[in-house]
Amino acid sequence: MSFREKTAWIEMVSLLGLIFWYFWPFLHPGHHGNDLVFSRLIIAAAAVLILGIVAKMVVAAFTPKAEKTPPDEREKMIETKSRRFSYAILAWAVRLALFLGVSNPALFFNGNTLLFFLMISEVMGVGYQIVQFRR
Amino acid sequence: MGKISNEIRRLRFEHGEMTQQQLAEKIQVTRQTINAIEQGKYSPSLEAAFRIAAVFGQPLESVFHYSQDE
Repeated sequence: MSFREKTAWIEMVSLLGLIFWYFWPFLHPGHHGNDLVFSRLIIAAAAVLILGIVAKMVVAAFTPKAEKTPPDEREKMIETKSRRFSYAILAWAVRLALFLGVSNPALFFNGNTLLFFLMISEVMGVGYQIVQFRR
Repeated sequence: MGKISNEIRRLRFEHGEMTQQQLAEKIQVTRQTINAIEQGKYSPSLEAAFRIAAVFGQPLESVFHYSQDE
């Protein structure tokens, strides 16, 4: 597994952790789901950031040479393709949010809806990257 | 779409059983990229293809072959 694939896995796990940590309470009955709980989001984002940095440092310590090497042409191509894929997902998600917003404008303007779509598009992008690396 | 095949695996073995890692270091890509090129899963840039051919001291057309689908 290349250094960049390991990094993509770390990113994927971190993002999924962030999604579950933040959105889990919204699934519980009785939760109104309209509040963008900034304190919870900031704690989760900080935890994910710190854990991600530590995990990447551990991976880099085991493969110091690979960490210093710039991405080669295939890795750059995979990164570009995954960005494009991620953007396409995000664009469809925004369209969906707009569509849903016609009947429920509050939903479109709900920060949590947009945050969820943004995170999902990121996860899909990283997932696409992993699939390409493993092909 | 056509198909690009190559002789990299054979050439590596003919050049002192060169490993994928050694070839990767010579042309400044990752071992995974060499593996993907060898298996035909990734078509290298023209520059990388020339660099691979130069490592083996062969012309480009001896290392890479292009066949067009009917």
